[in-house]
Amino acid sequence: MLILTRKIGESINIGTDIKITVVSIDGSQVRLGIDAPKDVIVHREEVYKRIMEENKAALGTSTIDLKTIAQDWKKMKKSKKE
Amino acid sequence: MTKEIVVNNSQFGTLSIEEEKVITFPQGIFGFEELTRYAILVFEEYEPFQFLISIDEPEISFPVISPLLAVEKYEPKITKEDIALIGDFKDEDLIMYAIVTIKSDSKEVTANLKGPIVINQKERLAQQVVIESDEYSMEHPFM
Repeated sequence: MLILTRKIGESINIGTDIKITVVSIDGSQVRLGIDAPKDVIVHREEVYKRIMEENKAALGTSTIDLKTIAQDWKKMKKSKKE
Repeated sequence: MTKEIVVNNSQFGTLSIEEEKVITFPQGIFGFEELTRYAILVFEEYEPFQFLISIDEPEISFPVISPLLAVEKYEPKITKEDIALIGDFKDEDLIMYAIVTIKSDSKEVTANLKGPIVINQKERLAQQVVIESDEYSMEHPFM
């Protein structure tokens, strides 16, 4: 990992199109400003990781279980109407 | 005559998908960025669940539902930057899906309302969006 030290207001360039600026520091929290082209998706790492894990977990979903739940749901909908 | 793509999936068998129904995710979905072409499969026996199947890797298929089946109102804060990749659209061109998971241990069905799939039906472009605020959960109980 490349480690750089920046002061408030200073920036880091990544490639030609991405710039990260230290906007402010409050105790142990650092506020970062990100300039990037619209096709570069920027996310907090832990959020990205969690959604990726959730996507992978979804792949493990048994279609047999889904069918059963689908049937239960349809029954429940029907009984609600009556 | 519409061109058809034939794919094979071990659960669903041989599937024929119309080329014009293909949805392109310019950056795939999180964790699967290289897979960009998908289609939505609808089977009566699975309704209300539908499947977002990868045309490039047909074994990859995500169960999805309309978020409105999990919550009465689904109005996540989505900015223009969040959906920069899906082209121009009017509100009525958009359709959202939540990826569904059944946890193997609890058999609980949950919908990922924090990371919806947003599809621009007019351009047939889509992306998975992260709702930054805490409005919605990644594991919203469905039933």
